[in-house]
Amino acid sequence: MLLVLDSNEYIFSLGAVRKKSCEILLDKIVSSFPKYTVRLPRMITEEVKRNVSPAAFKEFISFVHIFTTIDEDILVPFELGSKYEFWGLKPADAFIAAYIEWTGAEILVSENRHFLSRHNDLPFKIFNAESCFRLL
Amino acid sequence: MIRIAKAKRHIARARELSSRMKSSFPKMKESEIIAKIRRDRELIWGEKFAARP
Repeated sequence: MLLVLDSNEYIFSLGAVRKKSCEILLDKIVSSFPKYTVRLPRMITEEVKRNVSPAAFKEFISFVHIFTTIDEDILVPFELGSKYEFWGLKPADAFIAAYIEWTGAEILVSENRHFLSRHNDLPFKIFNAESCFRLL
Repeated sequence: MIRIAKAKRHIARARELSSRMKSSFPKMKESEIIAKIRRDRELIWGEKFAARP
């Protein structure tokens, strides 16, 4: 199963303020590899970079390089992003939604309840860490 | 197995380092941190793409 974890999941799992559910989820995904895999776009790594210490970010990048690959933002088709912008999402959120559709991921995990919550016809499901952990 | 062990080591190290660092996050509510991350997303987007022709 392919998942995309929003930046807040990594930040709450590895940063200065942590949520147990986010820590447990990341640990479970890593332990269950390759049953569950994650992908992430460059933009999410940049969001993590802004919200953890430089030393922790270095470890995060080392983890990412071992565990998965970073997709360059430019690879995501422009038309996909436009579709979500047309739906009323902010450009950056539209990009994340387009990225998830482009990767074919089944689940977006995010602690941001408002993210994409207005849309029921998305090609992927949205869970927070706690509900995703129960599902896996 | 080695790959998983290495990944876990980096996760543990990141958590350990984050615990030692000073941050404004402990003073903030969860909703405030999420809002800050969202603002950062928009800023990053602006820096990366908005200035392009």
